[in-house]
Formats: sequence, C-alpha cells, structure tokens
Amino acid sequence: MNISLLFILKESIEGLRRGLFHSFIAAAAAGLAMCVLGLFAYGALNLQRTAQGLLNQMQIEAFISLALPESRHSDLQRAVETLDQRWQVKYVSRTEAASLFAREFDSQLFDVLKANPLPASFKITLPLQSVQPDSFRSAAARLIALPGIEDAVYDSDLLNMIYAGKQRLSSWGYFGSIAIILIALGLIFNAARLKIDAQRDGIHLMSLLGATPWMLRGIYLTQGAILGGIGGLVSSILIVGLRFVVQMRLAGGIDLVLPHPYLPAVGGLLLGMIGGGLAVGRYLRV
Amino acid sequence: MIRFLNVSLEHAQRRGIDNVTFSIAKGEFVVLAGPTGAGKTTILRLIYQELFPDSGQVMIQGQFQHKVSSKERAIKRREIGIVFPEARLLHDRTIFDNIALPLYITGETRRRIQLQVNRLLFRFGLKDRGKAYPAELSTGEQKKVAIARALAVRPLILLADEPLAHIDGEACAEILEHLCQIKEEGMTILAATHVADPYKSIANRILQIINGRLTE
Repeated sequence: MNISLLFILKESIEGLRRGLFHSFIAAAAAGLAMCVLGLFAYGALNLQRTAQGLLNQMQIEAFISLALPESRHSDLQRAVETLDQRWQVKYVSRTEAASLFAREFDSQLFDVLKANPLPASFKITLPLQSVQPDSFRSAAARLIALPGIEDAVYDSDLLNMIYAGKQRLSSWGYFGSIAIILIALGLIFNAARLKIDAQRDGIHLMSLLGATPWMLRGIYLTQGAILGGIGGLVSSILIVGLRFVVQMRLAGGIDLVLPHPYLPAVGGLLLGMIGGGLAVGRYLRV
Repeated sequence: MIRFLNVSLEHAQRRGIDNVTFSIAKGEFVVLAGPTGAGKTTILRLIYQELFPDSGQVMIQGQFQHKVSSKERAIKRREIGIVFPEARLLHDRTIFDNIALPLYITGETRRRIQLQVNRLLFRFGLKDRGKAYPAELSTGEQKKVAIARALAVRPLILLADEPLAHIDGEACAEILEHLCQIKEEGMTILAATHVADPYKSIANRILQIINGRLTE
C-alpha cells in the first residue's frame, strides 16, 4: 500500500481514538444533520407521492348525447380512443350509470321518475405524465368537439388544488433539501473544526516534520468520512425504524416508501468528508 | 551546506532580519546568539521554509530556496531535523510515538521504526520511558525526546532553537554532550540561543545577531 495512505489511515484511526469526545460530537452532529435531512427528504417524497396518487385518480367524464342511439356508442368510443391512444377509455352505459347513482345516492329516485334520465358516458384516464390542468382542459375541449359528446367534465378545482400543492411540495422539497444540506454541512464543518482545532499543534508539527498538505488533509477527509458515515448510518437505522413504527400506526392506510434507505449513511459519509476537508484547510497554510 | 546571501525579511508587526549574509559548511556546529527578538528564530524558519525572504537568497545544500509547491517543501523538510524551544511534543502520544512521528511520515516500515526509535531511546537514556507520556517526563527529558525526534530520520542538518532553555545545569550538560556527539558524527548543526557561553567549548563558530543584523 502507498506509504502516504498508510500514514493517513493510521493517523485517522488513532486520531479518532485519541479525541473520543470530539469524535463523538462530530459523529452526533453528522447523525443529527442526516436525520433531519433524511426525514425531510423522505417526508417530502411521500407527500409528493400521495399527491401524485390523488392526481392519478382524476378522470374526465364525457357524457354521450341522449339523442345518439346506443348502437352508435361503440363507434363513438373508437373516435374518442383515436383522439389520443394513450388515454384509457372506459364506457359506462346508462344502466351502469343508474346503478352507480343508486348505490351512491338515492335508490328510490328512479322508482319515482319511472325512467332513467342519466346519459351513457366515457370515463377517461389520462397518461401519468399528462396529469396536469392544461392537459385536462385541452382533452375536455377535444372531447366536447366530437359529435355525439354532450359534455366533458372533471373536477377542475380539485385538480388545480392538488396540482398546485404538488408543485409547491416539489419546490419546497428541492429548496428545503439544499438548505438542510448547507446547514448540515455547516454543522459538520463546525464539529470537524472543533476537533481539528484541538489538534492544530499536531498538524503544524507534522507539517514541519515533512507531512505534505495532502497527507494532513487526507487524515481529516478520512476521519470526516468515518464519523459522517457512522452518524449517517445511525440516522439511516433511525429513519427505517421510524418508518416501521409509523407504518404500523397507519395499518391499512398509506404505504410509506423509503427508497435507498442507505442514502443518509452515504450522505453522512460524503458530507463528513467535505466538512473535514474544508475545516482542515486553514490549518494547512504552513 | 547553508548559505544566506544578503537576506532581509520584515515581519508585519516586529523586526525581522536585515541584509544577513553567512555560510555554514558541512559538519560545522554554528551557534546563532542574540537577545530575544533579534531574528534568530526567523533565520531558522527561513531555513526550513516556514518563511521566505523579502530579498536576498537562502541556499541549502547548494540549492536556492525558491517558493516551491507545498508538497516539495514538505519533502525538503524531511532533510532537516528541528528542535523547537518548547520541545513541542504531542502530549496525547507516548514518547515512542513522538520520536517515531517523522518516521511514520516518511513511511518507514514498522520494523525499521522499532529499531530506530529504540536505538534513539537508548542513546538518550530514555529506554525505559518509551511508553510514558510527555507530561510524565522532566523538561530536560522532554528536550532529549525533541532532539531524538529531530534525529529520527537521520537529517543532514539539525536546527536547534534554544535547546537549553528552561532546563537545569545537569540536564544542560547532558544536552550539550549529545550535541557534541551529533557534531562528531558529521551532522551540520545550527543552534539559536540567547546565551552563547555554554556552547563556547563545542561550537566551531558563534554568530552574534542583534536587531536583525549579524555582528560576527
């Protein structure tokens, strides 16, 4: 193994052992930072996923004119499907509409009316990437333009609300994550600086005895990676545990996702390295 | 071995050195004597390139000291052993590890480190103190450890800044004896001190420095 690498590894590990208190503070800072960052990122992701799930359930209902004979409904379905082949089109006959209505509202109503006033319809689900207000507006307009379609409706208020909420979540997610990453880096940087400051005489001495700046920087990069990694690993375990507890409480409810649960550990390792590397910089000007 | 040619350096808030010219031959033991703040440590720091002159030239082993990359500077420093005025031992390491530090830096094997450090511990009468920590040693013993550390990588030049400071008569005599032995082994020594008398019997030359100027 390279001699500098051996020196770096030896000094890193012994340095952690010698300054146990400062090492603990630095690992705790990294763990706390990665916990906050992980909870925020996974929380934002799950909220976004919930919003997207709600959006995916949105449909356009295109009502077929009562004047159009039922025998022509299948022709009309083909015409609707031709408008955009990615649409999922489901035909709801007048009888099905009546039974749906009866199930949801008043089953007695048709007995009073003695006839079924509800038109047949198509329930159209747009492809996932098109679930946004503009796509719904233009799809509804194209449907209404078809001869035989009486009206095309969707809950635009609900759509606008969920869509705007999802967009806001997305922006806040990005900006929030960047802000928390910077705060986490600051926290780790300061914890690392505290540790390095306690060893500044040693750094200066090693430099005068012939240690190159990269050998010294390497020690603190390695220590930062180890402490950040440990802190991040603890936060990964805490987040996975928290998800398990919350999921138990939400029994039968929303399914929380936790993609790549090792990310806080990797993030801690990287932020630890960056924090350690930056913090030692000012002590290397010898 | 060491050559200063009209070297001047001004510190931001205190006096540096002014137009200093001298040379030290290989194997010579030269003492740089002068009061506190005269510029002795500045000269030593110029040699191990912690400082660079405003004007003039410093030559070590026939090579001009230019502003080189920090990596090259670090590697050049491995040829110079430095004894600092306050010994500057690392208090969280054993005496063995303090002496071995330059050897760890240069990447010596574990076996060679063991051999070299034990040899130095024996030479300086510290063979039972390897596992002790600096705080457990007297000031005189700490100075000996500092000299042993400076000699660990077998440097070409030994720079000793106030090697007798803060130690009593017996320890002073021991340190002087060690410096004398090192000189006899052919190493070039430059010692800075504010009291030149103890060195008169062993030094080849004594250079006087006052207010940053040499008055040989």
